[in-house]
Amino acid sequence: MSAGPISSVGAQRSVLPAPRGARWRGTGLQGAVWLVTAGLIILPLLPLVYASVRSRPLYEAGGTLTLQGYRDLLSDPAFWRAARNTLEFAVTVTTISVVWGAALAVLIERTDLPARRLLGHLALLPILLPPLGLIMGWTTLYGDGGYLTGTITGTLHLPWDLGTPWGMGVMGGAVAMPVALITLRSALRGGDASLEDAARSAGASAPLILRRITIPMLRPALANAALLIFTISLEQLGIPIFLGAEHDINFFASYLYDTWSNSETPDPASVSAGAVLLLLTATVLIMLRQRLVGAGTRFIAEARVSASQPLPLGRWRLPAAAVATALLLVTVIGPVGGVILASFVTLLTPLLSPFSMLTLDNFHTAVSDPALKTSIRNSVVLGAAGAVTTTGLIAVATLVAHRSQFALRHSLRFLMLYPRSIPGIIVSLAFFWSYLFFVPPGDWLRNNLVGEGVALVVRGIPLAYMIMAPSLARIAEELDGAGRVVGASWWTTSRRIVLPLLRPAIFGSLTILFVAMLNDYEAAIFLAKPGTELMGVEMVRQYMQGTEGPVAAMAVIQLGITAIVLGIGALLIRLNRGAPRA
Amino acid sequence: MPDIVLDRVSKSYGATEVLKDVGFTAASGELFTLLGPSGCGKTTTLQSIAGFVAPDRGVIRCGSDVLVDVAHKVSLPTERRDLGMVFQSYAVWPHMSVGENVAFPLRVRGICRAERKSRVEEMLALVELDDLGERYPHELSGGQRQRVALARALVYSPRLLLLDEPFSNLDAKLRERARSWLRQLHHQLGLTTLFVTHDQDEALAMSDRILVMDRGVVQQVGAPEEIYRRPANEFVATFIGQCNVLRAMVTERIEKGRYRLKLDGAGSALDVHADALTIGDRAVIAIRPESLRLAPRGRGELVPAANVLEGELRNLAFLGDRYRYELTCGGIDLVAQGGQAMQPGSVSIVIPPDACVVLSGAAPEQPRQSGTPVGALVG
Repeated sequence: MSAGPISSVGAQRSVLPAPRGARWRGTGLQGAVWLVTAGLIILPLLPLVYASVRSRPLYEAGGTLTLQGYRDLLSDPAFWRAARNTLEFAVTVTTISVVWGAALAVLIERTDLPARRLLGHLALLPILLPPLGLIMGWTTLYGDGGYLTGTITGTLHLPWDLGTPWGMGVMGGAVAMPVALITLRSALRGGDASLEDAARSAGASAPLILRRITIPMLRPALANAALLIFTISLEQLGIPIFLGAEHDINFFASYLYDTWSNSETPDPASVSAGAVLLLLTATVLIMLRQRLVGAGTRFIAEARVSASQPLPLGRWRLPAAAVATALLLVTVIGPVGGVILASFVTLLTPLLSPFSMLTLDNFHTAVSDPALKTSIRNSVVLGAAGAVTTTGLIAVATLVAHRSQFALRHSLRFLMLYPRSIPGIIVSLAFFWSYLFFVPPGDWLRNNLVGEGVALVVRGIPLAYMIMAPSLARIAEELDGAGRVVGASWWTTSRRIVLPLLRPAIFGSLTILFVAMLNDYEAAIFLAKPGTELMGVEMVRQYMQGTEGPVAAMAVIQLGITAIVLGIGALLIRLNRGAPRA
Repeated sequence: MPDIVLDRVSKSYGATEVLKDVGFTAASGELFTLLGPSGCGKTTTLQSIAGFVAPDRGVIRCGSDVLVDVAHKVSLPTERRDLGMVFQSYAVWPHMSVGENVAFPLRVRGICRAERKSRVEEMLALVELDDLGERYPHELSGGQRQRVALARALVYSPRLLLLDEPFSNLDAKLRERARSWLRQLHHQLGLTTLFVTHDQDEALAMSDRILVMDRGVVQQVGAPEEIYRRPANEFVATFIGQCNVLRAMVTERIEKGRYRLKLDGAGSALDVHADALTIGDRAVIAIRPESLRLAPRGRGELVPAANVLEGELRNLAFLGDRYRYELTCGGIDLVAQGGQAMQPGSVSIVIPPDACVVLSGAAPEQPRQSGTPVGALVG
């Protein structure tokens, strides 16, 4: 190697113009992003708290400050029944989902289970599919008069009733399982597999290693998953509305929704009081969890240095695969089939052959009923606009939080995760009061889709952040450091270097957020009005009035759109992964 | 080319002080190396100059420009410091081609397309990547990527070049070639260059001057030979190259600049050259293995004016171009080097007074522990 010709560099250094935009430090933009993000998360909660301590609704003059709302709530026996049901439900959900999720995670990550990759993908379906569709699927198969209920209780003599908190808990557990699976898989991947190899070389058998090494090391992740799932279970609304109504069983969230919908006085303070209590509970649980896990390190999944040999399951290999597959069939694939079937028949009952009642009427109703038709259009528009807005905002906010010198950057990390602990129904109620309180722009926002969109954006913030932060952590800080050294400003570096490298995560966020917003029903439940209906909200409303077939058709339409968008998203991410990377 | 001056730069993370009053001047056009073990603060120093780390105290100047002056709340953002930097990982942007990587600094300076093209071509020719402008980083070898990083750092004629362990990701052969190539390039360009490494061979081979750091404190600044031959303290002596470190007490002044010391353990006397020592003081002496000569017992006296210690050759190891002798002398372990194979047994160890460097700093009497030789070899 010999150096080439002497160039314009060096001794006769030619001075180039100063970098453009270098005088601009980007603090203004960083501050604006912080303000918008923090404002969206914190501001809407204030009117809710205020409404809970006022004698009259916020829009009526002359109210006084009082704790009457809290007294009304706490003296209502129905509230205490709902609270007990919620607790029973949440404990069941947590136990089932964590046990099953842990078993599946260990089988997939550490053993030679056949088809483990495919099973891993399929097992994620419950959090991607529309929740209302899954719930309807469960009722058609396992509910009162469900397709398989007779077989379970009659032929197998199992004590089974989907309408009890326990029965609903089984369903909730199956739906929440992917949350446990994701948490535990990433813990297993981050863990050092050579510890297991060491036990193996010392002569331990596979079951012994799993019992004595793998599972004990998973303890922190198990606690983390359990707390998260318990918190999410407290806010469950769809399951009690769809499954509990016949038995008159309410949970915390459905109690609030019922009280709100059926109250003699409009917009009672006791509902706001209940929402504040639920919010406090969820916040305390999430803070407990953060203390447990350690906020910062959660996202850094260290790559395993060596791919170790999976533990051989031996003769348990096929039975384990069969059990895992059967559970997925029973809890996910079966119910999806059930709701599809229900959408194509006039009446679904085990007493009559469904093929004698095949019809397209349900779909016809779904696309011709004015409210349903509008709701489909609105949901797709809001899903797309909301996904783009949230992804754009949170992509930049994540950079501010992790790749800037902005003074308040650390607060952003907590703030962006916080909406995860705000139950959807509370987001909805908080925005309902906010649009009445902050006028303008509340008066404009509450009467059109944008108002619902803002609520959905807040719900989407933690999702977008949780998708982007780990990807950002994998982009070496030296890459943006190199941009700054050569003279690019913070924003130029972000725009030209970091964001393009973050592209797979951005596409992931767009896809997941679109699906989440399309299928969300809780965040908009108090906001939807004639003309601004959303699919989920309209499905809940119509189901409560006794409409089943067209609601099943709506669920199938949701499923269809979800499947198409997930497919496109997966394709985009795959194409972008193929892009050149170091 | 401007010089770079650091004046009492300090930085703490919590209770840990990573830089303690670091100060030095790298002269214009100099290749100045920051050398030290990992965690010594050399990278933090470089990052303070680049603007990635904000010092708690001190001043950093480049030529007449103040980059950092903590007392006066001056801290130029990285992008306005006009420095070039090659990162340890090279930080070549994976989504841009080689040409786009090198063109990026020109783009942010608003250079027109035609000039950009000609400058990029010239720069790629300089680093011998003429034909690879269209390639993407993942299609390049480690050495090529390093040269892309260098081209990107040089293309806008920065006033200072910072190199953060640029050779640590190359294999041994390639590293050797890259070193001499970079040294040559530096001569041609005459660019003031700050080089961070933990590799003493690299530092000795490349630098005009070396700064040795340990635990955030500057230990010594000097030309490579000076650092090697006259280490300022025990840390520098043992960190750079191999060294026998002996503890002793000053017993006698023979003449001006010449003293006799009594070695701990062995009890033998050793004559050394030193500026001024006080009788009764304790001292630490550093002797490089290659300055020890071995002779069959009794023949050492033939070397005039040299110290001769009687010892035992316990073991020898063949290292290819030389032998390494493991010796013991009155309870002290010593290591020597030479070109001759010798039989283990009694030997005379000849130590020229010039080869004994009396180190500054306190030299506490080390409590002898069983199994721990007094004259420990560190390298």
